[in-house]
Amino acid sequence: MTDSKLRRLRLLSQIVFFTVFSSGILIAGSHYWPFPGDFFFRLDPLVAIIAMFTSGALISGLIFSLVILVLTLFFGRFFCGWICPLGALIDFFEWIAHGYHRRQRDPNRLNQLSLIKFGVLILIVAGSGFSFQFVYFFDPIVIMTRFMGIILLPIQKALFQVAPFAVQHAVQFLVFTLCILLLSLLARRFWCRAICPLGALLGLVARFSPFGFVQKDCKACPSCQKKCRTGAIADSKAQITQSQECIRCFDCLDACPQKTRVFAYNARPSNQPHPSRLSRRSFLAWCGGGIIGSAVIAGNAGAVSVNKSLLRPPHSPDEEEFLDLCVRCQACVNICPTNALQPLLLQSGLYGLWTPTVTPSIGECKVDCNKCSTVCPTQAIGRFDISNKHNLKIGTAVLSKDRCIPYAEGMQCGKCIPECPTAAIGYFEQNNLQFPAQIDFLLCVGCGVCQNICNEQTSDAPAITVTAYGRNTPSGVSEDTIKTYLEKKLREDSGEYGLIRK
Amino acid sequence: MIKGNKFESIRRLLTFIFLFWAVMACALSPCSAFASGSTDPAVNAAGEELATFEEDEKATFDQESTEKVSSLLHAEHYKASVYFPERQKRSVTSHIWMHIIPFAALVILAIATARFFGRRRRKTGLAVQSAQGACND
Repeated sequence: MTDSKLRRLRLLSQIVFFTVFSSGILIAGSHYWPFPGDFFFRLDPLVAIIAMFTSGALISGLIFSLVILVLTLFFGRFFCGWICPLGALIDFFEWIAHGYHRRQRDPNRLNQLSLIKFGVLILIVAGSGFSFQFVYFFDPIVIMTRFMGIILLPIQKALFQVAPFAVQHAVQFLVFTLCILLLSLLARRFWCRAICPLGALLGLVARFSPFGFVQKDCKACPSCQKKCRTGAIADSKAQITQSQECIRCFDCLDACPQKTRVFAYNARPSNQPHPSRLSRRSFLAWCGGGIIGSAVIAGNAGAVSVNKSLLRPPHSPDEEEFLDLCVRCQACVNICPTNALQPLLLQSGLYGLWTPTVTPSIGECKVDCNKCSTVCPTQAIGRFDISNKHNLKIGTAVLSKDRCIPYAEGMQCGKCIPECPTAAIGYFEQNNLQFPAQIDFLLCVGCGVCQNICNEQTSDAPAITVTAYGRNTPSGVSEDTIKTYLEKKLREDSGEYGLIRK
Repeated sequence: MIKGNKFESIRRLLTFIFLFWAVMACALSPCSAFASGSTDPAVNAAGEELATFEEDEKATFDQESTEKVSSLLHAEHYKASVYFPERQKRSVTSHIWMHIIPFAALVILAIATARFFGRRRRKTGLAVQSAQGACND
């Protein structure tokens, strides 16, 4: 295969994987396209390792990602150059800004910064030892899932005229990704060569790859060195391509004026430099940083995470385990049909940053929906069947009569009563008014329909608010109750009652 | 950005402008994640003042509510608990031994990234040189 064909093949691979990634976000949860919403996470060994380290649990869905490590052992960091959607986006950004890099005198002047990514990897692993994971800041698949969600889903929802897509703090995800792209102006693939911990992990494995580059009759011109995206050819005279940095883009083959450079088996240079050359002091510094940072942030989280009003998605474990497992990819937020799931900011401390929470004021958690559980890559939201959802209690609604319209204003309201899918709101009638009287703890599953409806009726705070009280406790709802409710909703939607709620 | 091959540069610049426009159009459309008010809960625009609530009324209501708590819906729908613990069984289970692995991984990283347990060559070399010097003296 000629050099240019290899490059075209790589470009095709990037386009295909990027398209699959983007389509995966759009069609996740669709009945017609049974595409696993967490497909790319199953290819991400960093998320798999850190989520399992932090939670101490074996997550079956992520074990497949270890195959990527095995393939990397043979073929090097092909994932970064051929599959990674963030790498493809950075390449595209650099293609637009190509003239900027051309003007730079020494493209490899920042090669020393490649040590940082190993430090970041050590930091993350050290943190995971103390049950604190911040892989969500650095993992490329997580970053891209957040970014593509806020870019693509509004288009999809606008085109198909379904409920608008609303995500709080979305601008943070946009700015974060744009900063990564702008870093490429410092040096090509700056994120991949200097910061990406997944690249560091794959680089450590790729060092043992038997494939490498061989060059005969080299004139020691700097063409390949200048063309290299990741600074893998640090010294063109030494003719050494560092396997841990090379992303197998094959640009150097095309750049060689003599065309004597070939990619071959059993071509690993014997005098390959050490992958990181971190000093012991640096290693201890990164390690200590991870441990101390974890302790400080965990202490901060401990003080704040007692917030009982936080509602977590259905079938999520207790707060601490949830924070360990959740990688803040926002896949659940993206797929939620009612926008009920929203990312937190600092309501649960730094530890809970960007974790999803049910926000009934924006939307309710539908009783016939399990989409969030189908896309969660780390099972922070455990898989469940729709028929079991009525057993999964998110919290309990609390009624404040002093804000309830029939009590406070003496006007008819009672809209929450028929909307409750589990008939948990007991009421009495007086003077042709319906007064909500109490909420049955056993029947209320905390779906938030009542709060959502109430919020639309009042200009002040809603009279019914859902709290996390009773989360994950037994519910007394029967399957028949839900069936009755869903049949009723179906009749309403088909116009039998003429009560179609906007 | 525009230097050298101007046609190519302009093509790329136009691509960038088109994509930037597309992204911003999506981001600022009424359907977008960033549209103002998109995340605000719907509120009643009436803005009427809420009526005051008398304590006497409250007592009356409380008394009545205990007598007439309804329950038409309850009577119709309430069933005994159908909770089965196995239905809420976690699909992932933490193991204590798994918490040791990160520290083992740190040791591997220490070897892989820093030659943490290797000899410090430079200083050893200097020591050898000084020892040789001492012998020569």
